[in-house]
Amino acid sequence: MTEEKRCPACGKPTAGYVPCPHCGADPRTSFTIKFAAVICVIILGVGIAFYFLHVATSEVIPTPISSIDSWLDYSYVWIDGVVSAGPQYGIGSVSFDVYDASAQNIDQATISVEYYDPAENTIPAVGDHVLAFGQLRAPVGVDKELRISFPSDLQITRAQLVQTTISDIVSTGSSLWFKRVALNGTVTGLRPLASAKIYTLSDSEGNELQLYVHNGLETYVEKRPIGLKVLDNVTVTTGLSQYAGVPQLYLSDFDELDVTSSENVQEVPIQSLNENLVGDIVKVGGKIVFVEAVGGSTGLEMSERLLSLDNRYNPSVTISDGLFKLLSDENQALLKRGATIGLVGKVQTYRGAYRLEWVGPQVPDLTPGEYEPPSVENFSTITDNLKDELVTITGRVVDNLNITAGQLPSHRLLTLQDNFGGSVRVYIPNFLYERMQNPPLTGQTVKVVGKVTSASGYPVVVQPGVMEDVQRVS
Amino acid sequence: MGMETFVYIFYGLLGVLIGSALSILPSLHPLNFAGIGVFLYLMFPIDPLALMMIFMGMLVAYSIVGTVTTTFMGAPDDSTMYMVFPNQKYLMYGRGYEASVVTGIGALGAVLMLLMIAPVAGIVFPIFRKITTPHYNWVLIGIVIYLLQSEWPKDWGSRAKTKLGRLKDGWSSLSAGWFVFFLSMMLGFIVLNTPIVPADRAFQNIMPVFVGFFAVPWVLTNMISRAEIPPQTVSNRFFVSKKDMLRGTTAGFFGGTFAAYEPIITAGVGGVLAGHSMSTQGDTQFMVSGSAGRLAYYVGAFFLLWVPLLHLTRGGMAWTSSLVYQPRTESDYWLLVSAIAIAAVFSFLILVFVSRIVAKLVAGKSFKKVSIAVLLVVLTMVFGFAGLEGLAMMTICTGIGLIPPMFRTRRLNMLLGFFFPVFLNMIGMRGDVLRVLGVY
Repeated sequence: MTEEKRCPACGKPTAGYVPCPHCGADPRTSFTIKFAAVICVIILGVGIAFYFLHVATSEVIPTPISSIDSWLDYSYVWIDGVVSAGPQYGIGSVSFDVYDASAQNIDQATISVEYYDPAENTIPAVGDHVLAFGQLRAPVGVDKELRISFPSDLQITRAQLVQTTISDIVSTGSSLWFKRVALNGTVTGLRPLASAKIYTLSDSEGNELQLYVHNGLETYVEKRPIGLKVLDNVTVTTGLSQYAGVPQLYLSDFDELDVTSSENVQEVPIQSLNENLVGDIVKVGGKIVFVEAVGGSTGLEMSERLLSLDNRYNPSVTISDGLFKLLSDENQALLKRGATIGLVGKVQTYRGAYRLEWVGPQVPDLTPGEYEPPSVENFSTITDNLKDELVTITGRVVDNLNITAGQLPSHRLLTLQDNFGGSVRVYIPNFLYERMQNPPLTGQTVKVVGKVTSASGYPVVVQPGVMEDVQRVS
Repeated sequence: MGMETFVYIFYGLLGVLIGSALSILPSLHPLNFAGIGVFLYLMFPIDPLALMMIFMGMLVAYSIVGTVTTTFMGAPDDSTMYMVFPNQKYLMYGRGYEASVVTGIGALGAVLMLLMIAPVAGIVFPIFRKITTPHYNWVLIGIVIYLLQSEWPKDWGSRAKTKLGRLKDGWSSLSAGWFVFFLSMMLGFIVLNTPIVPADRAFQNIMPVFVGFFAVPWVLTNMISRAEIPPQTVSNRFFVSKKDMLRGTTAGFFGGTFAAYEPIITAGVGGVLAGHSMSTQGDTQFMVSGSAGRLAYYVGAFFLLWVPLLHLTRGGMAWTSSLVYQPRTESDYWLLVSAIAIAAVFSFLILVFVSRIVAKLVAGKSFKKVSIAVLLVVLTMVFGFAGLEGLAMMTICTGIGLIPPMFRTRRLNMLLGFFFPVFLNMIGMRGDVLRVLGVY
């Protein structure tokens, strides 16, 4: 009896057929578990080799900022560079810019870093060297940004201090950019932005340098105003950034600023401004006889206010709307016709006349008061002869005409009638009319304080200076 | 850096143990537990890198030990649906253990390939990503069109006598495939826009869908079978050719890696594309390519997150775990690669051990009874994770999932259809389609 041949794979009889007629197993092509064991040993060997590679390598590989492109959107990367702007404080986060010199163009080699829930003493300032790990956002057409969520993902090496002067910074180009510097200067100006205030620091030679103070520093960190005044002498120890190629000190902490003294201001009568005073900062005072708001060129914003002190024909004082809004609510309300004011400004010439530009930061001396220009009863006497004069008129609105202003709301041309049957036109620019809580309507009697001028092709109109110059009588 | 980091390898091995236990239960997936793992981490913080290693171990175990479920219980998921047929065939020949181990060796082969590309991954993948990122949209749409168009009409065994009859025969399976695609797409618009499961379990929103699409129909089909599982041969000799092993592993690895790299594409889709491009054929190549593709897809997607200068987040595990930890250095990467290697060997040993036990346990059992037991486990899991709403969703998806075996069309169309709304989203057309459907 012969031994029945069985398939080694399925165990069924094969009757000598190869491969197995039942399961298809072919004993000629087989391997044993040793084959798998060999693969396991190789994998283990390679795995252990990689473990030693892990032990041997601990360095961080930063991504060059200029190489960051939209394909890296949402990736997590390290960046290594120097803080070139910031910090800008927000609610629960701080942002700053990092520059790594990976491209000649500074913008290409700079990335904005958003640092969420920052821990104390882990906020870098301009000049500090940082190594940061976070998630990239780099969608097409949007500035690239790195988002850091954990303090441990930000390593900071604080910058060394460089003693310098405003003159050195202005004259040496970019060599001091993104370094921490210490210098002295005098506050000679303020330009408020939506998100920050830019102070102007000057030296005795007239060189100027900007000092950038982010609003978040006052609002979220220090929770108090910085308290600088025009002509304060200060020592600043902070990082030197740049904006559009212009050097800019970037304050990260109020402690970086020390007021050492204040310059005395020369007091000058407003009517005595002259060529010798142009460019100087002087103090003037007087009674406000007219406030004239000036509209912007593109919208309904007010760009500035012109104050006439004591006399309509004295040099006017200009205050930008940004600086006006920096005044306290009380002073904003007080700064109106009739008040007596003392203020500091820079003497300028404009269209051949002298004028005084209000310089910030300052708190003006304001005393409330009343003033009303001469009243004109008979409107028919308001002619070219009264041009540029201030008048007070009271009459009934008999006509209310729209004057188109492109895409913007219309200007208004009211016709006021006096008790003698005479009439005069009152021109209300759109930026004033749209701010009026109770704009005048046809049939109402209104009192208007304004300047006799011409507007929109009408040779003689009365134009109010501010919204309060138009009051409904009945 | 000293050797103290070796402890992370042990965390990886712990993940293998957890993943093995979960993988053997039908319908379960490590991704079902990733969200729970992160939640537990937030409640009881541990070293986040240790948690990542546990997750890695779970993925490796799922990719290797999980074949036990496919082979012996016949409950596939989207990544194993192409292996389940040959594996079960082997089971019915009494070669279930052999199929399980051979499949595991395929996964080991994929690990070996992953280790081979690891030293150059940091160079190659970032370049590849830079080149391909702007083209994802049309590549994805192209894949959908290719897979729908490339299905071959089935031979029903009797050639119809009329032209119309032959045309009808030719299109019966193809039109069923398109119908399945359409139904799944509609389901995708609903499920991916408005989670059906309760809000507190929303992270398990698509689990009932996949179980309904793949696992339940297969189990139901098995229940109809009256077969008895024959005695299983447990031998240390495997009757497959090394050439088939190599070819299957290579195809599977490339398919799985492609799927891991491309957004939305899953292992099943990648496997079919790789199979077509490399002309895989025969049961061995299917089994091996399936397991290699599965490992390359699941582990590969997680691996991509760690590749230096790439940090590409792909796959559910990478997205979920990236909430906890982001690889920071090249050193982290080598630690992961090392841990994958060691975890893979450990998983393979578990696979061999578990397969021996299960092979003995199922021998002589009625396939119907095994399938009923599996179905009960599946229903319990779905109810536990997604509630009654999940069971309802699973039932609907089972209805769709039964169409492909009935009309012999591709199950893959369900996957393509379900994720088609995501494709549309990527090309900016989702809103328009939703408006047409009246959702907006």
